[in-house]
Amino acid sequence: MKDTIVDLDGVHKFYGDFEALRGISLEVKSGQIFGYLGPNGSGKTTTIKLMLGLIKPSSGNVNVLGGDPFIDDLKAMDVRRNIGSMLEFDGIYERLTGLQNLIFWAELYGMKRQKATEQAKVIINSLKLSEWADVQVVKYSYGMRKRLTFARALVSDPEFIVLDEPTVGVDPESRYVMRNMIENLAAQGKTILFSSHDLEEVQKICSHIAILSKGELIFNGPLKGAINQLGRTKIFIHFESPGDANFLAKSLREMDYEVKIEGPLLSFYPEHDLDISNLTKGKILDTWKVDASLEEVYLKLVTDDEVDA
Amino acid sequence: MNPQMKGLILKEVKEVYGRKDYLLTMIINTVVYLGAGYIFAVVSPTGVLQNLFMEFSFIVIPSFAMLIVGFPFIQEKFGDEKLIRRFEALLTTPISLKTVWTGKMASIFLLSYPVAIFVIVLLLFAWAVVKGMNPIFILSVPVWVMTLFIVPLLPMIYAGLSSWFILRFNHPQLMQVLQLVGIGISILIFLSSGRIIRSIATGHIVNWPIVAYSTIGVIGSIALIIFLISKLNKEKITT
Repeated sequence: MKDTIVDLDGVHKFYGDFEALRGISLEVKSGQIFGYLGPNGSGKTTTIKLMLGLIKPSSGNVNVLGGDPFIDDLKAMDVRRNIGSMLEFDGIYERLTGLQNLIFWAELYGMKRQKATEQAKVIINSLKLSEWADVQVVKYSYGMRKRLTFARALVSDPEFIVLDEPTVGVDPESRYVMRNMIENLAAQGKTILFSSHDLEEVQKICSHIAILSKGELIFNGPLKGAINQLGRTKIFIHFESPGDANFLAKSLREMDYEVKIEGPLLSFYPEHDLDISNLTKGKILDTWKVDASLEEVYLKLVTDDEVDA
Repeated sequence: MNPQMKGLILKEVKEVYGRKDYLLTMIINTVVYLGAGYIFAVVSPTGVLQNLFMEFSFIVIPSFAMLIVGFPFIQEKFGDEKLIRRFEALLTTPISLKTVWTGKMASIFLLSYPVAIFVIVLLLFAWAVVKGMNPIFILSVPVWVMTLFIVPLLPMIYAGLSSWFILRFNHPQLMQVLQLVGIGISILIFLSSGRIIRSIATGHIVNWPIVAYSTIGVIGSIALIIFLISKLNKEKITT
């Protein structure tokens, strides 16, 4: 098995005069669940299209599973045979049943009819769609359709799986089923690129992340490292009266803390050695802390980048 | 045939067969072309001109039916699929744009050629009932070669060129323009064919030299389409 699954080296992509990607260099290693994040228009979809061989870079190198997926030669076909993808536009045929759809896609990956049918049944069962396997897709709910699209990405048993917004608009049950499946796939050694705006989901499942803003990578590394390095734990204090919260807020602001007050509820990001017992008055009803989140890290990075720009 | 191509063609055909609108089209075709065959047979004069009328009906009507039936398939399999960006999903698989195109064209042929055959059967029936004639024996071998194998390729050439325009360009009204052009060319051929053909044929609309010239023209057109499709950049389709 190859250690580096995706290797982008100094990739630029222009659409006319617009530079969608500005010298992206990125590696995705085997077995990673790699979160690929960024605001709308940051270049995520362009990067994904490059990885899938739908477009070619204006300059720089794109190497996926040891080859260039764009050119329609035998090597590129071998590369694409090992990539499964779930894109924003799903490629599902509504007039066919779920099973017929999967068999068709499996055949496109070069499987013979019998093997394609067996594989389609296994995948459809594992995504809990077996009762709907012989029903036309037009009758599926949105969540079921999303699961079927996810199944389409997996039907060829690919080594590298690209998921673009897989959980957007999906009901909690489908989300749970898909998350479990992704974790199982990673446990089997598959590599997954997970592009999403759902940061909570990314935080739950990804081991590494890259954040893209205006065509440039502004972060690339392990998720835990990002949160430890850039995230902050937030303290919430619920006072009996708003006046008591304001009293503490005044003291904290004098010490240059960023404080937020909503009635009697005060929140701020404390330093490690801060003792607030001398700064408070009145009765504290409750105190709790919220650990740093990816959302916070993401917003900080993206906002800082916009300010710098 | 490789399993990818086979799967693609089967899927494209399966998606349409048994669909209500396809069945409805077949019923409408039955009524319209049975009527057309009846009119041709009734208004045809006697003698040599009658045979020319018969030849003309067999050469032109089935392929025209094929052309009309082909319009929605070109729209559906190229125009709509590009619009809903299904080509993106297809081209992420280990399959080339040329293979996808060939599979879709083959499916259009498999869906529309039976219509031409069906219309030929209707015309045979109309001539038999109205005039008590059997065109199978009256029409010459070149006419049957033309009717069964060469003229049905004209709607396919139209489909091939249309598909190239659709894949290459992005104008929202492109399909409507192509349909108008298709119908316009058919009418022009219909209006001008009699004079041209009579000037080169002797006694019949079609003889072996005309079959030969037509075959060369068809092969040239197919070669041009294959060249155009092979030069298509898939990036144009997916961005």
